Amino acid sequence: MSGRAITLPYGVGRITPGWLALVGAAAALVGLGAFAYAQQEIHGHIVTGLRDWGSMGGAPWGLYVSFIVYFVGVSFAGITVAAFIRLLRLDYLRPISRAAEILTIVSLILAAFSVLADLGQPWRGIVNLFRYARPQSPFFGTFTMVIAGYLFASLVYFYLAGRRDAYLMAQHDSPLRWFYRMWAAGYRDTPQERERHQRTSFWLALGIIPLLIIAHSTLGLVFGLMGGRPGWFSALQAPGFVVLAGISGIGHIVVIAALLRWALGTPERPAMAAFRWLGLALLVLGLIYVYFTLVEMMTTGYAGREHEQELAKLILTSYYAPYFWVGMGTLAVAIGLLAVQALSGRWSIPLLVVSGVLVNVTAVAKRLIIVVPSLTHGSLLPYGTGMYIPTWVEGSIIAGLMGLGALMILLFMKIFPIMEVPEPSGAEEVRG
Amino acid sequence: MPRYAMTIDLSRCMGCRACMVACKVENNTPEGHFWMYVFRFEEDEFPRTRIWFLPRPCQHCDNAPCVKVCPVGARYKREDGLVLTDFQRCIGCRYCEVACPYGVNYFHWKHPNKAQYLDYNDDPEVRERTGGAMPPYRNPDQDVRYGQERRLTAGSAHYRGVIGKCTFCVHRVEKGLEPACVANCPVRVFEFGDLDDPDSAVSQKLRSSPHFRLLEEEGTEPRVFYLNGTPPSPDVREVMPVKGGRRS
Amino acid sequence: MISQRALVALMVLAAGVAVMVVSYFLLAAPWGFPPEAEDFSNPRLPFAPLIFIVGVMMAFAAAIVYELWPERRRG
Repeated sequence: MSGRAITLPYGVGRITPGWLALVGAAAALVGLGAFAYAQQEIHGHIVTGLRDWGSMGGAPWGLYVSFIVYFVGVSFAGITVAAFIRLLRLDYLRPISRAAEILTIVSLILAAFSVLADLGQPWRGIVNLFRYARPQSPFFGTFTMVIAGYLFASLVYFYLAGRRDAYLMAQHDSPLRWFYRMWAAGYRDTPQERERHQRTSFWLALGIIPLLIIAHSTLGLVFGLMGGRPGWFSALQAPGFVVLAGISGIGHIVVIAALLRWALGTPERPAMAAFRWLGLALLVLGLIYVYFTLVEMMTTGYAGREHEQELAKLILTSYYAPYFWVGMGTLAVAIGLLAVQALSGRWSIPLLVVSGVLVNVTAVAKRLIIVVPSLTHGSLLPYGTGMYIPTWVEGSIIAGLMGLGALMILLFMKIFPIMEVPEPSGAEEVRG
Repeated sequence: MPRYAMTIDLSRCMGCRACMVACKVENNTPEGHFWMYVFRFEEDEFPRTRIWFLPRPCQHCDNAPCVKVCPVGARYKREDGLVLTDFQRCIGCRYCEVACPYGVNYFHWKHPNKAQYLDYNDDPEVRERTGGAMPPYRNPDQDVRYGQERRLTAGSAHYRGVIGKCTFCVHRVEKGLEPACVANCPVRVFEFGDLDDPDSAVSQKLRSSPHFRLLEEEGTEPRVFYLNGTPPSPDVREVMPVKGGRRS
Repeated sequence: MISQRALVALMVLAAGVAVMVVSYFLLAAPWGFPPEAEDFSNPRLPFAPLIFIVGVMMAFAAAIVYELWPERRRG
C-alpha cells in the first residue's frame, strides 16, 4: 500500500476539536437523560408530572407521548426526500439524501426510546407487544408499521444506497476497511449494477410512500378514534399528523442541509436549487396545515359539542392560549418568510434555517396542545379540571434523547460519508 | 353464562361514601385510587339549590373503548360481562385510561405497597393489641387467578407501572358474593346480578324503575344502570371532591 | 424472460406479503364489533405480531435480495 496519507471524504475518520466539543455536549445530555431515567426506573413514574385524569386531576399522557409523535413526525421527511429524489428525479437534492435518510433512522430510534420511557412496564412491553399486539388497537399500527416496518424499510433503503460509497471507501486503507467491504457486499460500481440500483431504489421508494402514509395516519388515529375525548375525536387527526410530520421533518432537513453546506464547503455541497425545493415544500405543507387548523376551528365553533367548544375556548383564549399562539405564530412567521422568498425568487439560507427551526417549535407546541388540554380540561363527566407540569425527569429524558440523536449522527459522520461521494476523477486522492 | 350488571338507585344514595371506603379496603387500592367514586353534585342557585350524589364504579361497558384500544389485550371483557385487567400482561401504556370517557382507570405511578394505609403489612403489634379482632388489611384473595382464563385480575396491590380499575369485585363474584360496595351500602343503593335472570334483583329493579346510563350518547353500552334520577346536566357543579395521589 | 434474481426477489416479496396477510387476519387477535369476549383480546397464535413484522421485513428485504443476488457465472 502507498505510504501517502489518504484523506477520506467529508471528514470521515478526521477528529476535529469542534467535533469533539459537539460530541462532549451531546454525551453530557445523554448522561443527564440516563440519570433521570434511572430515577424513573427506581421510583416509578411518580417522579414525573403525569397523574390520572378525573378524580386525581392530572394528565396521564404528556411530554413523552408528545415527543413520541414529534420524533415519528420528524422521521417522515428523511425517507420522503430520498423517495422524491428517485421518483421525480430531483438530482439536485441528492447531496442531502444520505443525511435525510440518517435523520429518519435516528428519529425513529428516538421515538422507540420515547415509547419505552413512557411505558410503565417497558421491558414487559417489549416482549408483550411482539407476543400479544392486537390489530384492533391503533397502537398495533404504530408498533408494527412505524417502529418495525418503517424503520426496517428505511434501513434497507439506506443500506442499498450506501453500497457504492462503501465500495469507494473500501478502496483506501483505513481502520474500517472491513466494515466498508461488508457494507459493499461485492458491489463493483459497474454501469449494470448502478442501473440495477436505480431500479431497486425506485420501487423501494414507491413501496415506502404508502408505508409512510399508513405510519403517520395510524399515529393520528391513536387520538382521532377516541370518541370520548373532546378535542381528539376528529377525522382530521390522521391527515393533520401526516402534514405536520412533513413540516417538522423538512424543517429539520433544511437545517441539516445548511449545516452540510457550511461545514463541508466542497463543490458537491447542496445547491441552492435543493434549498429552493425544500423551501417550497415547507411553504405548501405549512399552508395546508393552516387550512386544516382553520377547518377544525370552524367545525368546532359552528356545531361542536359543548365540551369541545369549552376546550377550544381554553386553547384559543385562556389557559392554553400561549402555547397555541406561540405554535401558530411561529408557523405564521415561517410561512411569511418562505412566501416572501418564493414570490421574490430569491432564497436565503439563513432565512430558510430560521423557518426550519420555527416550524419545529410549531410542531412541538402543537403536539403538546393536542395531547394535554383534552386530558386536563376535557372530561365528559363533571370532574374538576386538572393540571400537568412536567418535572425535571421528563425534560431531562427528552433532552437526553435529543443528545443521543445528535451523538448518533456525529458518530456516523466520522465513519461514513455524510454525503454521496462524487465519481472519482481518476486520481487516488479524495478531497476531505 | 350470567350477564352481570349493576343498578344504582339515585333516590336512595345519601353520599356517605361508605362504598368508596369498602371498595378501598376490599381491593387495597393505593392513595388517590378510587375505583368506586361518589360525586357530590350541587345544582342551581339558592333558594332552589339541590344536592345529589352519583356513585361511579367502572361501567363494564359492552362496547368498551378501553378493551378496543388495549395494545396487548391485557384489558379484556369476559363472557359474563366483567371487564378486567390482566396485571401480568399490562405494559402500562395508559391508553385505556385516555380512551375511557368515565375516568375509572388509575395507574400505579409508584408501587402500590408504598402508597397504602393502616397495617397493610400485617403489623404484629396491631394483631397483638386487638387480640386478632382486626383482620390483616391486605386481602389475600387478590393473589388468586380467577375465571376459566386463570389470569391475575383481582385487587390492586400487585405491580407498579400497570393500570387498575373496578373489577365488580371479581374475587367475590367468583365466590357467589356481591361486590364490596353493594354489600356495604347502609341504604341498599346498589344491586348486582344477572340480567338474563328475570327474578334477579337487577332485572326486577330495571322493570320497575325508570333508568338511564351515563354518557349513553358515547355508544359504550354500559352495564351500570342508574335508577330514579337524571344524568348530570351541564350546569351541575361538583362539590367536596375527593382528591389524592398527586404527591410523590 | 424474467431473470433469476428478479424471480427470487419477487418470490421473497410475495412470501413477505403472504406472511403479513396470514398473520394479520388469521393469527393475530380478531377484530370485534363490539369486543365482547376474551377471544378479541388474545392472538390466535402467540407471537403473531412478531410474525407480521417478519413479513414486513421480508417484503422490504426483497430489495436486498434483488441487488445482492450473485451474478450468474458465464462460461
